[in-house]
Amino acid sequence: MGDAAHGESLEHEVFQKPFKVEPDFEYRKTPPNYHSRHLGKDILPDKMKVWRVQNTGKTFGGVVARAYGFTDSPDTEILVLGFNRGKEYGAVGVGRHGNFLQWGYSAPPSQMTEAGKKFFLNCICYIPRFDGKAPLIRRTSSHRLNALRLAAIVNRISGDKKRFFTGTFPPELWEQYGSDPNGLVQYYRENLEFIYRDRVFRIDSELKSLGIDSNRSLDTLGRLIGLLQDETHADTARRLLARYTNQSFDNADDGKQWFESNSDRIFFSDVGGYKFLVVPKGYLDKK
Amino acid sequence: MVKNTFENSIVFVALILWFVFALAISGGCKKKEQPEEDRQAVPTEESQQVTTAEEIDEIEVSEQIDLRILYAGLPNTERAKDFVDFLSEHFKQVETTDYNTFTTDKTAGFDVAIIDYDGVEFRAPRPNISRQYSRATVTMGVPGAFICSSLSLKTGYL
Repeated sequence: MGDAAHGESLEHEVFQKPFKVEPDFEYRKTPPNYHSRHLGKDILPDKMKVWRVQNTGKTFGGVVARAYGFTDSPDTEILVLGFNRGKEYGAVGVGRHGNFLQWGYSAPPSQMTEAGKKFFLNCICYIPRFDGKAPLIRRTSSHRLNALRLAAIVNRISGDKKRFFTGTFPPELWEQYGSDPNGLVQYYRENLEFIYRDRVFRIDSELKSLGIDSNRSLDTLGRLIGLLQDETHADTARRLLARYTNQSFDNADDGKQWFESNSDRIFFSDVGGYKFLVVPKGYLDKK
Repeated sequence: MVKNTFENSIVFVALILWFVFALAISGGCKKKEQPEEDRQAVPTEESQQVTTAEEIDEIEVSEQIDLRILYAGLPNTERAKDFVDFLSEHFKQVETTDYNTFTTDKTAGFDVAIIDYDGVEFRAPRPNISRQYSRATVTMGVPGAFICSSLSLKTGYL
């Protein structure tokens, strides 16, 4: 990442107070990496609205965090997207995870723009609100969108392609997709809601067989708990609950009680291990 | 009697003139005063310390922000001086510590810790920070991203 940030939205309070951030916007040509790494079916524009945070004149030096899964837990926030020439559009230039705010730009204040200085000051003023709030999750797994990203490059790996493939995707898919990145991308795209990680990116066929349409919706969790009292599906439900939660339920009533008392604080995180997790009471209260 | 009336009239007219003049002065000052938003957006170099704890979102230009900042950087470098000068201009209390000997217990008593090496170095040493650490912290640049990576944070370098 160089000097610039994307300028689509400046509504977050770190652009409003205590100092009003009023950047000078400009339009820059969309970097080639944005196009090549874009996972959406839409086409990115030729030019993008950005603003300069600093004035080093370099197109490198700073760092962005990956976009995939950044906000799949409620302890994170994207504060600004970094205009970068290495990763995808949406990668995070300045972001927060728990009590940590990562400022991805490299320059000291004397090389920041006026808008950059105010943004920096506002970030410093903002982060004390999260003092005492360590991150809820740690990066223990890879977000499901990485399956698509990596599938797209299976034939561009220099070195042992099969080793890369079987270390990333189920080995049984090698014959069919080893030299067919588009087919592999399509396979994961069609099954996006069933992707989970068990050393490699797998599709949850057990969940699909129950007629459930996603492994990450709260409804799914409720249905799986309900299936504990269904003799036909109880074993499958128990196995899936072990896959997607850290809970152990003796019976359906235990599960329902847990679910009902926590349902407004349950979230699902790919990055946190493809699990339904519970936000501790008070964690999201504003200081 | 006529003289008294004349004198009273003079006094009355003088009072009116004084009132109009005072009103004009007051209105003129108000017009010159910047809107709150603009004042906040353009900090002055001369800062005054606040005497009472203020809400951060209500601070004005001339006030230093009532936060205690610990800057952990590389001592005796232009970069560290750059940061400390800037921070001192805006925050009520700014203290420094050496990045290379930074430990989280040094953040006790501060509102925010800023951990900064040089902004760009991929092989910067990484301070030992436990996962229980929860002080409000700003990590800077590439070395900051690697600190986040070592803590398995989403803000890390990947």
